[in-house]
Amino acid sequence: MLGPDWMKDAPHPITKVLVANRGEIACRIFRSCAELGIGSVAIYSESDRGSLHQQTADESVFLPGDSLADTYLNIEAILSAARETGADAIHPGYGFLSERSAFANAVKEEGIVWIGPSAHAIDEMGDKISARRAMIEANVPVIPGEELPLGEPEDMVDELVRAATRVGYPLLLKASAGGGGKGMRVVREPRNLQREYAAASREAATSFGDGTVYVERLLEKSRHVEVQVLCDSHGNAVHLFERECSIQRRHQKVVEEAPSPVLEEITRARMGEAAVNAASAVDYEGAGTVEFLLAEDGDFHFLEMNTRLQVEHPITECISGTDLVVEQIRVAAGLPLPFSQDDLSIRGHAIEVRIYAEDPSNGFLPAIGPLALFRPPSGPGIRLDTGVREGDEARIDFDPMLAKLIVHAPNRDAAIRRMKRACEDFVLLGVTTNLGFLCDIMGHPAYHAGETTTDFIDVNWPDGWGAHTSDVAPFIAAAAEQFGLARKSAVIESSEGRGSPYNPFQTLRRSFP
Amino acid sequence: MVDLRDSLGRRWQIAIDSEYALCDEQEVVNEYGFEIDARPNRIWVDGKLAHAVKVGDDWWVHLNGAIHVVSIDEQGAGGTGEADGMIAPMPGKVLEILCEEGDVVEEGQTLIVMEAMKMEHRISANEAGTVVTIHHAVGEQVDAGATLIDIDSVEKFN
Repeated sequence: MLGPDWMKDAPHPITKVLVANRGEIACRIFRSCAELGIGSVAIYSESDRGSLHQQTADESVFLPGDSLADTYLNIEAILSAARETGADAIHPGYGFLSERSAFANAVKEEGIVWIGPSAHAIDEMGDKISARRAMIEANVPVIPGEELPLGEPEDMVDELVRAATRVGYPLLLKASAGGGGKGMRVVREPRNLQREYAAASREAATSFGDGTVYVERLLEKSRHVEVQVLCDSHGNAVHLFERECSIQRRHQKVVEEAPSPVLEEITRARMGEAAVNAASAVDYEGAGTVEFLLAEDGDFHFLEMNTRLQVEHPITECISGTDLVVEQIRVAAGLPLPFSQDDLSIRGHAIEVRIYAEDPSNGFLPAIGPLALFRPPSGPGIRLDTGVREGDEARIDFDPMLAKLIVHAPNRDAAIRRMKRACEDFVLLGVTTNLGFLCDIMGHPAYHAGETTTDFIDVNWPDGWGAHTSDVAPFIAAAAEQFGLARKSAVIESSEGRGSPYNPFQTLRRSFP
Repeated sequence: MVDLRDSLGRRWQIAIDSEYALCDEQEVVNEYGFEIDARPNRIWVDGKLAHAVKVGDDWWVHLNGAIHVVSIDEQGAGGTGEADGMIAPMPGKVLEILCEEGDVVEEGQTLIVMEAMKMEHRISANEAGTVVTIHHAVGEQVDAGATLIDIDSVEKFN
């Protein structure tokens, strides 16, 4: 796609990218850097020593300290890592500092290329109030809602109740600076309002250092549909169609697909246009996502714009035939987009599932443990984005997402069948994951019918989900125990991250009965 | 003979070379044929490949597209011994304690707020009664399975 001289005419040539992130997204960006022929630098904390992301980069810089504030959120340390390694660009990934305008500014002041939108765009879209105002001005439809300032819950009662009454129940309390389901609470009845406000405010303050809360009407039976946009510094802007991310648990996405199973061509065009207008309203540059709630009647409302690469970006890459990280780097280097809207079309159907270390049969509580066996599926149209490999440990320090499994197929039915097969083939043992639950979603008639509303899990598993049991498994365990499979292979202490003591030369071949 | 407990809490007693096994003391037929593979963690079950790995006392098994966990049950360790306490469902930090020792609480009343992975989780009373002991203070890290609070249930007094 790109010759060795592709960066030759760029106004801001990039030769080495530092990724201010960890895990799967850091690995994913390093791979694009390698394919572009540019260098890569990882940063890592003590608990990420020897991690896949540290090893995937060309170089890596250790950040001392125990807390996130010392490491992945430490702007000064990250800039000095860039200086030390001669990195001339910084990619923030998602989460961490990706949507901190102060970081974007600090990077630029250092004379380093920032692979992301301007600080102005981050601020405008990062604050739900100013984003809302900008959207109303740009004629993008918005949801009824209002903001509440920071305060002790006792002082806020009157204002809170008045705002809640204006917005209407059920409502959603969200951290203004929030995202990823943190600091977000559903309130169905007025009597829970105060308690949930206190919790949301506290979560917002711990996670984002800003306790401002936003009250918004909860639109049930709606779908979460988001549009990928890509804008360059020459005034060109395109959308790369939509992703539907309706299946969520605790307001975190579990299954995403592109295109949406229900969007009509006319709505797709309107939504794409609205997304491009939203991005243009803040002079957006690079890759961004405009999220909408799609109501049953086909009306859609602006939710928010994510001014970064999204977790679920691979499904858009599959159906549009693009590499969004490559495009981000090109745009940051000052190059124009290599395609126009008319060049883009949807090819086939893609689905992504997020594999979490969590227990879907127990309220999706996070689980920890060793990845004693980690054997991903393979075959045509299967992609795995992960930051872990066999022998690593699912720990409590970071997000419980272990991997993203992505499939691409000619149509939705084929993609569902492919995903079900891929989930079944995934041998991931040693820590409880949601793989069995994902298999059941892929086999569920409501999913096949495209009934993927945001309450999909509650509606289809009202009493919770239970793992399937097998009467063969105890016999396999007994056989493995009696044959000494544990001694011959790997006995793994759950709290230690030690590698498995495999000995490939030791074999055992017996049969029963 | 291997003593096992599956995810439903059923107790199994299995001897691989016997035609019969016990599941919750009921006799079941052992009709499976096993073959150990030359590579680690592989075992063939009636000609189908399964993967198995032992972590602590748990055997993790992958067969036919599904994952199962079966625990080795120490001989004579029977009886679940329901505790009158509330157990931390996952490792995390105690964020808030909403009761004091000696308080009379209702079933379902939130007593502790925990945090794990930046999410809050509410731990509620599993029965009505009097709070006897609070085992952890605000800010403390607790392991999964740690007893958080002991409650003397109302029923005991009746």
